[in-house]
Amino acid sequence: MNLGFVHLSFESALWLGFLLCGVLLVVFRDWRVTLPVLLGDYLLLCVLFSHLPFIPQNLQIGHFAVSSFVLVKAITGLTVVGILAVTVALRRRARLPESEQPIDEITAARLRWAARRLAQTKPGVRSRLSAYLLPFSSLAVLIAATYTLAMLYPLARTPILPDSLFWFYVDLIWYWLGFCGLFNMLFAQEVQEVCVGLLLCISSVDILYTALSRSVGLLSIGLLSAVSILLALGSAYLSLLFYLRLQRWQLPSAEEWD
Amino acid sequence: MLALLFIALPITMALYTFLLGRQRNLVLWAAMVTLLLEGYLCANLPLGQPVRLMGAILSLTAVDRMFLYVLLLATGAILWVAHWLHQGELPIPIGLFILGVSNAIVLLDDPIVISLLLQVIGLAIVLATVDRPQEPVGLLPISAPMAGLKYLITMTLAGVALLIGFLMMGQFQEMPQQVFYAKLALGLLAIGFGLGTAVVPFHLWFPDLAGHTSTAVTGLLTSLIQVVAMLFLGRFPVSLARLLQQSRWGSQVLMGGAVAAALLAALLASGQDRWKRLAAYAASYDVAVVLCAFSLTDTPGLRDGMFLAVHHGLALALLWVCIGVMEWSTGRDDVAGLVGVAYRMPAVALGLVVATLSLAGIPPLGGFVGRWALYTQALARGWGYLAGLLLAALFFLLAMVRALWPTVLPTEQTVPLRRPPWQVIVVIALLIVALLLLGMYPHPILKVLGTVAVTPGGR
Repeated sequence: MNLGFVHLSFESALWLGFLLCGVLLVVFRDWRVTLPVLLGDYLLLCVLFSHLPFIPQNLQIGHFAVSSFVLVKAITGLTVVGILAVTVALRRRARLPESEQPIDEITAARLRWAARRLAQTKPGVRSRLSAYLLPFSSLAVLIAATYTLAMLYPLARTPILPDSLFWFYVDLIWYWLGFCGLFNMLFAQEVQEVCVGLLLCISSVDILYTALSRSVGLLSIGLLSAVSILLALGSAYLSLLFYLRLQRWQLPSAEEWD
Repeated sequence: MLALLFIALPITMALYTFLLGRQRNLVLWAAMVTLLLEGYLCANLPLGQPVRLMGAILSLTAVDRMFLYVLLLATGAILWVAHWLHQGELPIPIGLFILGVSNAIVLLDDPIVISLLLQVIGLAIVLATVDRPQEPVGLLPISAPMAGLKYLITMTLAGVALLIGFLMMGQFQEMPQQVFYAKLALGLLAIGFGLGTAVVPFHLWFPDLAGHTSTAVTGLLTSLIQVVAMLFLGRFPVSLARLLQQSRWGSQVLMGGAVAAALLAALLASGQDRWKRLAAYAASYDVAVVLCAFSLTDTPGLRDGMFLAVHHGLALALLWVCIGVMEWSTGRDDVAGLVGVAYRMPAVALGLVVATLSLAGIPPLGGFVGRWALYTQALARGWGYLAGLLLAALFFLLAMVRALWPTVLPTEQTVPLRRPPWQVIVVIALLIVALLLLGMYPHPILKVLGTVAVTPGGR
């Protein structure tokens, strides 16, 4: 890849793409950032899979020859991000049934008072910056750990495979996605962020599985997609439950605090 | 074709019963007819004739068929009771879905596909942890969705660990000189199974979930998902033995770990003051005992493990059903609040006693047969293992007696209660008889298990 004076190989461009997506997912919590980035992550995953030597390009869409395997991954990514986006949209409109009475006036007033007091203590510029300090510093550790593990324990780069730099990058990418997933879960404040972390972990395993199995099993692909979709559905369900529960207390969610 | 129908029928009926929703009677009869048809299909599935489906091979052995019958019986009992105790709209559809996927797990051969299927059923149960159509969400304690979230995270991570573990096991089989793969596989499989089946110290999600969800859901978790997971583990004794050979202390660590897990689970059980949490620890204790049998990695150990897995499905189903009835009748599940209840619900009290004695391995119940064989083999490996197992059984028995004691105290004032429906009492009686038969006449099951052996050519 030639970007003016910068020359990047395909593998390094792909790795930089994953790196950028991971950084954005770990540092930002706003769904307007995380959901498009998650979709971007899935697209990069499709690009990576389409370059694996054992995945056949068995479909012709217009002028493009694509693999059905890659198409399944793309549809899974779209579905998962779609479910999460619909959940965010639904959450704003969801209301408790009218049969469920609100809490009594005194408790409601106490909770509102506590919420107002908390809202008044708005963070200054310094504390807002310090909120980003932990994710940024841990990202540096994360990148170092990914490089170290990919060099010391190359699980995708087995002795059977031809000696190529591509497999080193595959190792880097799956370790990176796994770590980003774990960090996303650690820093999460909402169910949706936990779900994004878990989805990254599954994507990481997906890469390792595809690289090691060196074949395309229809059932396994379908099941990996089913796991991702079920995970998104489960977290959407729990996210709505949390939101409705907060509604009874008449309290905002973590997202609204921001 | 028959195998495909056997898997697809409950999954289709799960969707159908979900759509029927509040037509409760129709849902119940649809589920029961499905289970009867499944029983018929199971009896007619040919043994030892592999079928290829979407790249995977489906085959049935006599042992698989026995496990399928146990799954059908446990599912039927749990779903029937869930209906009569009004435990929500979701247990029946989710239960049928889990049964369909469990059938696929029993018939399939590929460890990667099976671990993915286990993850699918593990995640599907999240949707039933809070019965949204039934329960008023506004009154839900915040710890209930928290327990659901903890479960969701644990199941996903367990699935990820199992998947990478089996991939590493495959790598080790391809390159036996790379011992690193064997050690990594062993570690990841232990973590994956530990998290998925709630073995101490990976158990933290289970008591919380059990405390906040209906006994139908936890019954499905222990009597279906855990049993299927244990059968799955018992399918790869040769591979497991090879992995253990690569580590100097592997076998001792695995067996010692299982004994320690049983001991800790029994100790933790003795500190519980709610029946649902206590039953969760009882399940954790029993799974640790089964793992102890599998960690012997020889033919008698494998047979014991399989027998104890069958027993686990039935005994835990009885325990959860009885706790469910007690909670429905009195509206509570705290140990201290149920003083004198046994006199007013003798069948439920008997069910609790039978489940307790069987899980502790007291004759003449089913748990005794499997445990006796396990104790004999544990003694052959070292008296320390036997002492640990016996101590765990003793602590578990004490924990259960401590919980049961208030229910049999004579008192004039007791909590107000509803009379349990006779339909539920019939199920309790059926499960008691099943556990008694398992203990007094285990020969048919032992005969089927006699076909299982740890051979290099075996799975």
